Amino acid sequence: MTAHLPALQVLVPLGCAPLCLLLRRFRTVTWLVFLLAALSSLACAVLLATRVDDGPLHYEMGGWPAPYGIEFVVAGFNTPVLLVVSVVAVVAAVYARRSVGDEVDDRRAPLVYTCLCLTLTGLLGLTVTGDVFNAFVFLEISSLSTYALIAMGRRRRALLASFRYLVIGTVGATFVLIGIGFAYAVTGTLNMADLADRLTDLDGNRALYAAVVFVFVGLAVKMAVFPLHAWLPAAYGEAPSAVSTFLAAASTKVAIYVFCRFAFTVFGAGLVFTTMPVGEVGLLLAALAMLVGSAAACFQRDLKYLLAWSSVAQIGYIVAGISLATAAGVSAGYLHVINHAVIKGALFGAAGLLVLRLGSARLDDLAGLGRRMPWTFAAIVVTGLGLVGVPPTAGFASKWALVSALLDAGAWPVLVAVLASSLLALVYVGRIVEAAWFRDPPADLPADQPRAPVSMVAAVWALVLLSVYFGIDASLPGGLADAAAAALLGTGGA
Amino acid sequence: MVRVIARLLPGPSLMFAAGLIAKGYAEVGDGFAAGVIVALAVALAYVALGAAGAEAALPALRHAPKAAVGGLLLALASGFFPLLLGDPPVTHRPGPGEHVTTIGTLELFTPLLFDLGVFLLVIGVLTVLLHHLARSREEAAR
Repeated sequence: MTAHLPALQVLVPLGCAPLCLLLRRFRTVTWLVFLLAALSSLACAVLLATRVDDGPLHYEMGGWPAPYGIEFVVAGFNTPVLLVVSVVAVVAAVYARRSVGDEVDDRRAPLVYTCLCLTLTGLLGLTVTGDVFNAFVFLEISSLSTYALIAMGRRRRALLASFRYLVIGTVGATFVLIGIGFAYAVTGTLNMADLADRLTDLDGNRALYAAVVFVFVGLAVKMAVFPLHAWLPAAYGEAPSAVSTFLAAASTKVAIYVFCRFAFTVFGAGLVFTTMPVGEVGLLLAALAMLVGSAAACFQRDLKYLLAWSSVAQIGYIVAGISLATAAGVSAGYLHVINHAVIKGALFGAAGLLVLRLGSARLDDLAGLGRRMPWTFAAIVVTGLGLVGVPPTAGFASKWALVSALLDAGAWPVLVAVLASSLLALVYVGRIVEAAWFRDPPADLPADQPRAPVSMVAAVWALVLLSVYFGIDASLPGGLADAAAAALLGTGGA
Repeated sequence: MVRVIARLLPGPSLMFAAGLIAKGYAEVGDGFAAGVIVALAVALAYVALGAAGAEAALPALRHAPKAAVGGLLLALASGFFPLLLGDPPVTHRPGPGEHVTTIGTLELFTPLLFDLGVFLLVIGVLTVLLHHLARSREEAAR
């Protein structure tokens, strides 16, 4: 069985999805099935992560040899992503039981778990696959189930948010497909390693340039890079809290990984960053994303929307690191992928606790709640400081790595944007603190509100403590990030 | 005219689908394409006769949800069973190069079960979708 870990990683959640649908009469059982899927993917990810030290693992689906069959590859560059997605999935599963029970009506709750299983399948599959068309299929599996999940939000506006994401996301996916089509047309292969081999003979091929542009524009939609981020705030703001916790922490991160995989191990750094100006464009957009995202976050009235806009800015940090295409830069990008997933997961989880108690997460409604919900707000403050990048939080560790990578590369304008965005982050985190502690609570606040469920608080605090641990001792995420950067930049092909 | 064809078409479409599955391993065709072709005939029946009419003319359509679930389970089972034998998922039995029993050009091996599963799943899901679309139209018209 252990030889099939790369396949089991993806197939177990895939098999659990129809199981959830069939058992939809038993709501608790469907939740258990999703929890099981998440736990099994975590177990697979941990086992795989311990094995890649000896070199990348190649797994051929159904025993068909690589360039013809579909190949799964597990190497230093995707184990951090597998770990992040599975850890977040387990936390979201623990969190979801009470949160989904509260925010989604009973008839639809099993569908939430079905779609969560499918999203998990898509994200994990996208991460392990070594075949470009297979990557598109998993991209669509995760996207389609995400649209359905967002539409199940508690307000009617969730439908609009979901429809908007559906339209933008489908255009993005089509761009990726067209790009893959161009790459296939010029090389006649869909296997990533094989593509990388054959592309080296194709210097100056226009169709290849078109392939690079189409794939990257399509992925930029999924990554929510600055001018293509328009779907993100409403989608995360309106989705059920358990879903926004999972998506905010995992889905854009996987898209960023796929970008790295295409840039460094398929098209090659020489073509993407030297011949074509992807690095310069990436740095420019990243700087704009930091400024626009953080500034917009300062003007939001709803906590979930505020966090979503802050995600746009944080994605800017990650893209900036990767666009440098240096070992230090890519490593900083990966480190921030890990740290930001933990931080943002905890923050959206805490926002969900507020929704459970207040029925909304509007900043005006938070007035004076700091003393009544000390654990929730302590979680928000600790992780909020991580967003700003105050030492010794996890956010500081990755921002420090990013700043030193930018200094080495001499990218001064981006450095200014990072600092400005950090100051703006101080403003928007400050607004939450101000509302919670320094405003008087409304007089008509009922005194005996239900206590927050232990499972949700525990899930949020697990992520908070993880973020604090990563801030104090960055050797685990730092080691994973360095290994990832080495695997991406080292050999070129995998 | 359309109604007559709508009543008669599912028969030939099933034949054609069976042909597609049978020759799918050597030439163009598979369970998915076969399922879509039958579902097109079913769609014509729903368009021409309405939900109630189509289900009266073709009583088998009422079992669409069962076909979808059964097909899904069949496909999953034939994909996962090699794991129990220690082979990678979606390995087929008999394996490459081994003797395969044939009926005419139809090869009897486990991928056939997988394709039949996909075939049933596609017909089942599309029929359920058509049923709900047609019903909501008819209710709105009433």
